[in-house]
Amino acid sequence: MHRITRHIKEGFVGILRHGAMSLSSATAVTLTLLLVSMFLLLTLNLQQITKNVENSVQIHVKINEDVTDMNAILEMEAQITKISGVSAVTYSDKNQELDSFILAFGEDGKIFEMYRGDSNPLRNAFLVDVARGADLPLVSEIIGKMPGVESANYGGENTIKLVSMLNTIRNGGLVLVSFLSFLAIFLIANTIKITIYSRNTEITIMRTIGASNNFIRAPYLIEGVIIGLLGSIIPVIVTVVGYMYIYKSLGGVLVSNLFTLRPVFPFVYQISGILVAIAVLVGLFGSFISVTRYLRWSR
Amino acid sequence: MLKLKEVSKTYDNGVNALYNVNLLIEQGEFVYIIGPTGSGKSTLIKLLDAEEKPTKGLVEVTGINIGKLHSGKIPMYRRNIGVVFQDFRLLERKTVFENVYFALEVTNMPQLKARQRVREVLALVDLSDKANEFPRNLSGGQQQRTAIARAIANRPKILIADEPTGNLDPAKSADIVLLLEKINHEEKTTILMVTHDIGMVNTYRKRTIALQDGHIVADLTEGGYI
Repeated sequence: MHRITRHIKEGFVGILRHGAMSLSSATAVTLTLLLVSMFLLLTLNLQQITKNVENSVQIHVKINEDVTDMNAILEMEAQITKISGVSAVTYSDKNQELDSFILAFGEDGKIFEMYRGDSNPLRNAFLVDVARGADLPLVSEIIGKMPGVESANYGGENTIKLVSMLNTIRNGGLVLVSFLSFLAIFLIANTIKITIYSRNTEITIMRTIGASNNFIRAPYLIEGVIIGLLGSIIPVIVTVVGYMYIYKSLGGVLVSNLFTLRPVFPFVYQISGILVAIAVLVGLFGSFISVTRYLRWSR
Repeated sequence: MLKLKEVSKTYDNGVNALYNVNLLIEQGEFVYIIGPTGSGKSTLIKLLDAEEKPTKGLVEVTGINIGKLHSGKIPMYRRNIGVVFQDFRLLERKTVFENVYFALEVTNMPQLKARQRVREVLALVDLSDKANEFPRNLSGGQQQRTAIARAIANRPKILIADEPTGNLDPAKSADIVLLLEKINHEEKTTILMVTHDIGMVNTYRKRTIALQDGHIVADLTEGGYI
């Protein structure tokens, strides 16, 4: 216990002694984490939106007018279910189709009531759900070629395109964030290196009196972690306050109700947790590189 | 206790520091190692302290083969060896007490036991009244006695003193040698003292090993400078 407090104390001493260096490293962490935060907020919301969109888009399969035998219809349903990527198939007969058609027009839909019964021009149909939005075109094509199928269509093509475009943006962000993380690690490693050089005598003494490498290493690792944590303060505040503000001013949705944002809590806490974890890891990793390199070439 | 068998050391840059050195030192001995600059004294100390591996031959200290010592085991090994340097190497920001305590702290000794041991060695080197002083407020002799206290706090089997009197005037130097003799007696520590001080070697006669150009040129049990 006494040991741990000693290492922590030494860690803080190191930070204070190289205030400017520590500050610049912490700033690098701050910038990185701000971008990571934006990236996470975007990605996780996109994920949610993609899921919503995918769940809401169905393939509408019209069955040929001449297929009326219920057994044949069930046979078709079984075949569609077997197509890979299909998660659910719902049968909807002419009357149900008319119901939803009328419903779609709201008040004005009543005018179509005249088609109820034998004069119903609509077809019996299947509503096919697919597990992944990306499978929609292919599954739709396969079903379209099946015998007894008049046509297979899905809406929301543009929505899917939008989501895939946003995914591309997200991947670009990932590259940027990894690059910045490396920069932060490098800066921390350099800061720690300078601390180590300034304590060269101390380390030499520690070595001659038989201090283990872990004992020598510990304060520097803590120093790295502290730099990381200092760097995470602003990003965490910006994340929590910023997301609350954005969520409130957008009313929880992006453009339309299809794009629902994640609720503020516990979302911002989760993001903050991830940011702090990254900060600690970057700090540990940066100082570990420096100390280990130093300890390796002196026996 | 301490055995060198046909030991040679060549540095990576091609400098030959020791040739075919054979040496045997028993537990509890007090030995001077003398020789001009570049004679291989520092290399000898580095071998004993496991800072360097021998290029050839066997270096064995307290039964441990230094050449085969895994680098992870070196810290443990060093706790058996106390080293004192010409330039004292004290931590400026720590008091005398803390400097000595530090050596015990790294070995994970319980706090109470460590404090007691610090008081014990400070009494042995006669610095009890300076325990709370910082090194900069001490004389050279006092600083060196602090360094000695730190080196022996762990009860090492061997104490290596690398020109411990190099920075001190003759009177202070004599004090240090007397102190080392006392440690040799009271703590049964084997003492290896590297020195340039002819007067001292001739006054306090001990086994003396003379090095020159990497060879042992003399090993006199009764001492005296050649």
